[in-house]
Amino acid sequence: MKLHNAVLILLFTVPFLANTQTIQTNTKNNAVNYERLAKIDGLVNDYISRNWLTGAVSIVIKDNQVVQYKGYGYADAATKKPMRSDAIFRIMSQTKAITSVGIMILYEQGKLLLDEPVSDFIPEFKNPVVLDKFNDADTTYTTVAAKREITFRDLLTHTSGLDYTDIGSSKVQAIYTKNNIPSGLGYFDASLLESMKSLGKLPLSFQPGEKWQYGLNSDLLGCLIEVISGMDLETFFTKNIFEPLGMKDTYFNVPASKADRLATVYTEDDQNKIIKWSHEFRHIDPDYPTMKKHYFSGGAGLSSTAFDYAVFMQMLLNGGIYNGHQILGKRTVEMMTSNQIDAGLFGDDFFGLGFGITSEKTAAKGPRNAGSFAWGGYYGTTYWADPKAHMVCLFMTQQSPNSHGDVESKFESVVYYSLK
Amino acid sequence: MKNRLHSYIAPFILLLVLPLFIKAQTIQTGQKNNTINYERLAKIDGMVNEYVNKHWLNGAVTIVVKDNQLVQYKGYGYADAETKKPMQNDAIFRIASQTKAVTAVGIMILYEQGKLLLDEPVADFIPEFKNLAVLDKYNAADTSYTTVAAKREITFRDLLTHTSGLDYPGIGSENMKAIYAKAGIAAGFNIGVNGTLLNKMKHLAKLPLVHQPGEKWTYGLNFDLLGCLIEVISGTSLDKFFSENIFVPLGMNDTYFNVPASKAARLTSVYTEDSLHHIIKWEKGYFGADPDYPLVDKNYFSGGADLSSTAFDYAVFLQMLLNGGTYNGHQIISPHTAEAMTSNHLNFLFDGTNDFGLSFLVTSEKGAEKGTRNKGTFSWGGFFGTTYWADPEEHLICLIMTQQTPNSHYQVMDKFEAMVYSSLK
Repeated sequence: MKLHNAVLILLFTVPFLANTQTIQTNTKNNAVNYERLAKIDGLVNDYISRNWLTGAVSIVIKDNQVVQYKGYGYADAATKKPMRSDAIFRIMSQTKAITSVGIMILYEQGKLLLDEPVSDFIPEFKNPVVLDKFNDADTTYTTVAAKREITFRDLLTHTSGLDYTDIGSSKVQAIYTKNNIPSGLGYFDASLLESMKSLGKLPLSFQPGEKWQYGLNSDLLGCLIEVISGMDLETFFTKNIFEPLGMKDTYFNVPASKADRLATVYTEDDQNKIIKWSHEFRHIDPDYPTMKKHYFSGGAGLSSTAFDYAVFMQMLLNGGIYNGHQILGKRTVEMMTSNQIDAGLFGDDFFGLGFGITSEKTAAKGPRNAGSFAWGGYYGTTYWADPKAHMVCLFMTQQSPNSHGDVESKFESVVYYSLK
Repeated sequence: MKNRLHSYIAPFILLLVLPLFIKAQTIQTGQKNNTINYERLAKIDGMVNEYVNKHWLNGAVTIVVKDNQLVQYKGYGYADAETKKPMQNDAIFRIASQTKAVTAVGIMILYEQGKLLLDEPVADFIPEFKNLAVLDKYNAADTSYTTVAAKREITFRDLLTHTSGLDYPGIGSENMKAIYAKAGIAAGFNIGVNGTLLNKMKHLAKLPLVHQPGEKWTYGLNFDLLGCLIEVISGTSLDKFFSENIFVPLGMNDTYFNVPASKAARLTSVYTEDSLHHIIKWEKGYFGADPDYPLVDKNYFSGGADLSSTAFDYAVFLQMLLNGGTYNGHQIISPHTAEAMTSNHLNFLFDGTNDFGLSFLVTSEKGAEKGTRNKGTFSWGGFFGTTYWADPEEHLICLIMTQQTPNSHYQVMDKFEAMVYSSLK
């Protein structure tokens, strides 16, 4: 064939290849029934008109194409400011997946190994102890030696034995409060490294590896990223993840110029009526995104948009590449989205390096296919990626608790109902 | 007329196409592989050099072959730290237990010739291995012991999978180490060699096994015995057998039991660590071994430990296995045999996580979950700090060669692996 024909064909296919990595807008996807998908509008608007929800943003990406992307109701109920699709949300624990990717970037650079003890970098974590007996009356306690040190893999899978301050589940939580360990939720005027060093000297809830317990694991991972890279976490994320992926609306410190795009945070009173989240409620000031922070919580500190986060998920679905930028190798993404814990530790589900993973057992009971990886945020944001359906979905709200939180499951049902 | 033309054209086409086939088998240099991110692969240099600069490693050679193409191949640091002789990528290493896979292929060559069966008792060839005993109680005070009868004979498959019940002198279990030491059983590296390999193996047969055949996995002298069996069955010495049947056909020109004086300069120095983990030279007699054993003119060949080789030669050997037994137009073993060698042969996980084939660790589904190697990867290594693995799913071969043991900074090998996989597109 003539050389210039070959060149033309190459010129056509190269952009096409790059395009299949990035999220495409304004192309129709033949595997989606748009009429059915549109029923999401009625569902969400119904919840809003009943005052069960103030506002929400939903996004559905199928085969790298945006097939649904809408803002519903109000970003702020008091001023009746409409919720735009590009509203900025406090994504709380959705930060954890980004921190996990940050750790795996350093792993791929040969800077750490997954089964390496974290005390190699923060020596205060050497010789860990485990809580034995706790005296509720005076908060004294006894400990036993841990059988082994905690590793990066323990932190990525929440099996280290660390607990959470304020929102934790074991007696250790009280010890954290007494020792002023930040929860990571909100604004903290403290040194992340000093806080983590203090944490290193406190007892674990259980022997490393033996249970799954939600905890400050990702905050410690964020600190380790800072120690190993020599950069603060915001700079590390911006350089290595946000800039290459074009995630222009994702920040620890939301700039003043974008402050008006932040959706307002709500909670419920004891009659389940939606009220604004005040500055002191549960020790979290909802204005923390625009407060100038230097304590970057790898567990909870980011704010972002539905589209930005969808790009991040699409990168993972693509096997680590997006828009020509390789963030991670495909084998690394496979490891992150494969089960990494012993059977039974996380109910019937699996847990990877930073994600809950749908098992065959749970896939039988719901619409998500096995292998779907997912998590969410404390303020009512949810995401999942379904590799079998080649789909990324997010449903973002800013309300906690939400006695009508089932709107999210219904959104999920309608999404799968619309797949041909 | 037409038929005649066809009979000319067909072989002509074959002649054109044949080089392509051969090319597809051999390791190609000088071409780019589109499934590799070379920028990421190059970061290995910084990582290894950091270990060298921090005096955590004196030197190393790494090689990565992907889809039959050489994509990475470098020497780092020093072959000899005292003279600051740089490590060339074609340095010769004492590959120790990497010898075992070569011995395994040797056995399978004889198997394919119909000379032995895998489940045949080795006593068919060395009758002293009939009626073996298994250790029952050992009295450390006076080194006496009691035994029970073995429930069955040991077979070639038992030896190939380390499930025979043979143990290791020097590095094995406490009681067996003592029994072997008293009886003068040695493990290779030309230590304690007096007499022929066959006599030594006959001597070994009189000693107890550490467990019943087939019931457990115990690293042991299995491949020394297999090497001896190759000599008995073929009537050739092991070095000649390997040379004729494996090294010459594969073009492995730098692989020897006895490294010739002409290549002695390419043999790397061996190191160990002192009690403060500083790297020091391996002195003659340390651990009973003379590091110059490759240069000694030996006729006692340990099929478990005695070869020296280069990263490239060994990569060629692994490529032959990945290719299904053929390399550069030479068929060493059949595809079915290559597959059998690299498949699981045990009823239990040999280390709690992974499978074991004929001389190889084989990554199981469980093992593949938490690491980068895909299921089916076959691998092993050598006592002096050499590691290899071949990942059939990625069509990938990797080696990292050092000559230091112990190495408190062994993580350099795990990091090499993480960085190789991170460069796969």
